[in-house]
Amino acid sequence: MGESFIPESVRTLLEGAEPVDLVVGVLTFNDKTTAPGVARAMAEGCAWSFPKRRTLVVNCDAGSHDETPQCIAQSLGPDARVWTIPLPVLGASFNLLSESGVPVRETAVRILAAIADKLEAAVCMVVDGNLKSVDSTWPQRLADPILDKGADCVLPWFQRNRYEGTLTNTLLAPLTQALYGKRIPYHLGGAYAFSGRLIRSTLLAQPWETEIKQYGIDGWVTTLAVAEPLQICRASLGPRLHQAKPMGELSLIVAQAVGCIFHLMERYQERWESVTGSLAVPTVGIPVRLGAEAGAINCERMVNGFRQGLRDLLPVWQLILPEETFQQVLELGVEESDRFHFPSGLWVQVIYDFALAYHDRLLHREHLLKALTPLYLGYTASLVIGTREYGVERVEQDFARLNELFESMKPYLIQRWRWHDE
Amino acid sequence: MTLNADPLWYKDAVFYEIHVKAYADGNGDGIGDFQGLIGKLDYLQWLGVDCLWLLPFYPSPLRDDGYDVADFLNVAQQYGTTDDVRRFLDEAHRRGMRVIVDLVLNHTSDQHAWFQEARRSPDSPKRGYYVWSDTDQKYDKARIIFIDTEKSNWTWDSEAKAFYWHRFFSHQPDLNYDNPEVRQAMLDTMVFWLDQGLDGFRCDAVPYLLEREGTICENLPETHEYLKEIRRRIDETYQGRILLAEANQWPSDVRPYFGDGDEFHMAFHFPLMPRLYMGVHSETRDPIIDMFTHTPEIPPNSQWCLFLRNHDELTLEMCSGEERDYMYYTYARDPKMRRNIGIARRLAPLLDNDRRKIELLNSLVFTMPGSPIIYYGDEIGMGDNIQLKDRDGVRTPMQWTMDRNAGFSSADPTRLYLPVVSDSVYGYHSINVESQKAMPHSLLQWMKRMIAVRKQYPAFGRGTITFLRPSNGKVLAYVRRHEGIALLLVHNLAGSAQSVVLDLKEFAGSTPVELLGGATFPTVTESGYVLTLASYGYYWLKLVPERAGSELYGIEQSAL
Repeated sequence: MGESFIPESVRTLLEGAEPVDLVVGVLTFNDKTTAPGVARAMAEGCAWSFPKRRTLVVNCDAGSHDETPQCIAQSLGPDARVWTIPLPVLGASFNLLSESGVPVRETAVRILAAIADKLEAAVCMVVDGNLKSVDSTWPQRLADPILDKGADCVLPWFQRNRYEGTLTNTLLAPLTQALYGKRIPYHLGGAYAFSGRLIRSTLLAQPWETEIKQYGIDGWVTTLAVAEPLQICRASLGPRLHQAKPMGELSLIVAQAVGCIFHLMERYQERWESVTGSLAVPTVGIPVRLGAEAGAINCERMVNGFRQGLRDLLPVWQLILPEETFQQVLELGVEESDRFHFPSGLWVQVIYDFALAYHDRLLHREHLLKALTPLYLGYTASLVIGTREYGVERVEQDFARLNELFESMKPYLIQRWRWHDE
Repeated sequence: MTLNADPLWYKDAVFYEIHVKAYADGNGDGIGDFQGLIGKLDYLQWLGVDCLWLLPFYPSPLRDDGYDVADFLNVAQQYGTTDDVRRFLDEAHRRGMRVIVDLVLNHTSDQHAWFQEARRSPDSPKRGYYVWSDTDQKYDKARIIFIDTEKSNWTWDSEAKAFYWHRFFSHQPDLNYDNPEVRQAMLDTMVFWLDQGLDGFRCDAVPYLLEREGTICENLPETHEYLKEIRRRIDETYQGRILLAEANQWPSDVRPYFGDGDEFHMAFHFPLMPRLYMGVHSETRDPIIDMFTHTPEIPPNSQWCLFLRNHDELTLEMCSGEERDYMYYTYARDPKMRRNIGIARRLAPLLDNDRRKIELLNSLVFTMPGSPIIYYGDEIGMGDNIQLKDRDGVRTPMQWTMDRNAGFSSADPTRLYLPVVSDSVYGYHSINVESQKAMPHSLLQWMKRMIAVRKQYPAFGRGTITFLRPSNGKVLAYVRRHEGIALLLVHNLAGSAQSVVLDLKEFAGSTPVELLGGATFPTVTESGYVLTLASYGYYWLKLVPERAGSELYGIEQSAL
């Protein structure tokens, strides 16, 4: 990969730096209360799990005003090998999504990969600085599959409560599974690890300045991991407790996360077209299940959000959806709020139709992606309404059924994708 | 689906009026029937209505379209059988819909076995079922209702050799409710149908049940006594069933029909209907507000029924002479459009098929205090045929598709009970359910959405009403409140865009949220709240208190 993106300060650090085995990147932005704990746990975990391996902690900070880098350095002590890389934030970058709330993440990850490459590291781990639940077992879970089992990429698998990760569980994960045949806990951000081999391959020579910047690094990495013939593994990391930060508008989150998958569908068309069924990927740690907590979800507001979409976006939906799908969506508008039911089959159909419309460039892609938001609200509300009276097993069953539906209805997508290409 | 278990279900319900003969023909004989009706229940469920009101389906010589009943305990052969009715009720209930039916308490057909027996001899056991006299001068203060056709409320029966009393057509002799046997017989009739599964009755012409010399023979205390007797029977054995009064009277005169919550559950608000039309045509809210200021409070378990049109003429009985002239001049210049004291036209033709006006008037009946009733076909803007006799012009077959006979029947078109409307504007080729279901912005789809939105807020059916009085008299605005929810309803009665400044100080800090689309309006402040409305425009706004205004979906932080 080219090196022009590497800041001068990093070049200076790299000059004459000794090789390392493990690079631990901690991405921060005003995370004074949590990041020092993250860095310490990761450093201690590396020392404990890999006592013979050399570790470098790299704090990529997006310009914190609360002295986060200083607090990290202080918490690790004078003997630790720590680099602090300040990354000035450009205003527009704030719009990029991430639960970590760290802007310019793609730049940070790119620099971390470059550092790992230059220092000949075997593993590069990336951890968000706003996490509260990191402990010293994480380095082992993230790095072991690479060091011992030859994995290229380790993705996080967090324990979540029943209605957390609704976009992930109702769309990102099942769609990815259906497309590429790998059952991964599609989770954007938090923690992941790359092998040195992956870093040095041509895979990361991606269009960083345009597409990755547009869609965000987390979705890009995750989708690439399953789309490419890589050895991937999921690491069970327990609950994902984090210091929440403003995430921006929901429509922006949906547009970026879904847009990333839709965008890469065009690149990997030949791969996913031939995939049928799905397989679990190897797991490190105990498989996680959903937690029971339901959280404060406002179903009525979500249903109203759907109805607002029905009113405001009707012409857009009519353009995107085939007549039959459109009629079914239209009929949802009159469902009573407390009995609102958005059938899963219709949801899958809607997602596939949106993917086809994205592919066909039926309208401006950002508008198209944002127009999905009210439908997502509707389906999520329906999911919650339909399962809130039941145990968490029911939610898991519904997700499992949804995954199967995405897979079983995939021929519809393939067939039409081909028609449109002809 | 199951039926709403709330005993006050009727307060939130949207009613839908159906003539069995006009809705769907299941056996291809050209006349609608229960078999056909069952086949259309899915449509009605899709539309979202809660309760169906069926016009009389009893055996009848059909000289008054079934309101001349010849046998209260059977079903007219052309409509089906009692078993068909039971099946229809089961199917409707299975879809979460209730069914009420017309019960003609006041009179029978002269073909009813009771009358036939009564006229034979003064000693007949049924003689006392009717009101007889040797003179036609009794009860001379009672008005004649059907002034087009009847000269007197008495008619001489040559076989009985006596005059018999009738408030409506002469072939409809009034029952004698001073006779305990009649009272019991009609109670037994109700029980019979309730036992079949009916959810209540629309009781026809209730003010006229009894007669007393020196009175106008309407709204008599003795009538109320009997009606309370019926209600007691319902409450004792048939909870959740309802009685709906047809009393074409001033609201103050209808008020006693609710009793202390121990007589009728519901009653039509007749005088409001013409005033809604007046308000829109004269572009002023005064007639509408005036009618509500003359509408007394009703018991908490009671409800008004609001409607724009029904199977009868748009009655002007409760209008002054001047108002009546105005309505005729405005809405019925062609004499063929006039019937009795009213206008026999459907909603869409009355409003020049102006979609904006149709929506506006529907919005008013959906948001004012009461439960709305939709007359079959008005949800698609069906037209009428003023060339047909009596009120047949508004009772033509339902227009389902653009196929033969509008999809109503497979019979030869000449065998239909009435011809389908086929003119160029309202004909079934352009106005039908099938095409409007396929059009996202059709009147039908709009009605479906309004019904659904209305169902979400009990304030529409149960809330109090406070009229706002902005200086712009063309704008009708009111607030409906119920259990902490406040809805602001604003209607522009004018055919031009209007601006209005509303005094909403009481709601300062609240955020109006438009109910149909969820759009948020600027926050209410202490100063006047400015709204602009398109011609015949309307807003349904929920006033969301300040603290709830920043509600989140609850998934934003954890969506990924």
